[in-house]
Amino acid sequence: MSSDKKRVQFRAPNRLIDRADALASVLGEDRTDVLVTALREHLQEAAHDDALVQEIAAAYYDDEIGYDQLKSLVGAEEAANLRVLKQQLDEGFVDEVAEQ
Amino acid sequence: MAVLIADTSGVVSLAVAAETDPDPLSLTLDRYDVFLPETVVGELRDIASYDDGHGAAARAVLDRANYTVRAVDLDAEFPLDDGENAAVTLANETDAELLLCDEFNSLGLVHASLADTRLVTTPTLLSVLSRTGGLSAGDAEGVLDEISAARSWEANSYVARARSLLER
Repeated sequence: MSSDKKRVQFRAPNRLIDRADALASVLGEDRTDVLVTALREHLQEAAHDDALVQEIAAAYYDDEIGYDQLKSLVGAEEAANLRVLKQQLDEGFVDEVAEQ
Repeated sequence: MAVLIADTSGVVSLAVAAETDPDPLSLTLDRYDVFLPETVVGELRDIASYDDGHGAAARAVLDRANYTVRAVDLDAEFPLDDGENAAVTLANETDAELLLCDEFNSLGLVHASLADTRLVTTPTLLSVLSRTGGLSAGDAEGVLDEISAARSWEANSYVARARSLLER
């Protein structure tokens, strides 16, 4: 496990934080553990959610996220597929194939 | 004439719209020297036995005569299914210009396995056919609609972007 940690600050609804604190008390953890676990599970699920993968792919095609970010979200194999598909959308690539 | 090797997925996609006029399968067979690996023809025969859109598409391909069938030994190194494996092997053996494949989930691997051959998907090939004058942009969009419905591509963001490439 990486020891690199980043301090983040965010605002969240009171009720959500109260529930996170309540769960932390039950589990004998602190609020950060609960939030980190929830975030990690959410990101893992996102990589297997087809609709979300398509949204991630769209953001990659539109250059809103880079290849490294794509890879961190969907894994190396899926990222490689999406990189080939992005190349298929390149005007220059289509022109080159059209010349053959 | 440039050589185009087709995988089962790609040639079935093209043939889904074989009843359209002009039809993308005929345009492709006219524009390229199309080679099909024997393994792909075997897969087409299997698909042709089904009484659905894919079956009709496979039969439409098998009914055409203007392509070449080639036997290849599968490369055991490729972790691909037999049709894709045969298509990649044949493309590398013949230095083909193009390989048509629509298996979006294994494109990274197919791409990495090719030496000098360019990989194209059917939506991209439709853009090419539209640019080279065989298919109007409007017809290409209609064909892509038909293929998307048969292939369940409606929610695929690559296909959505490929559609906007046709509109230009």
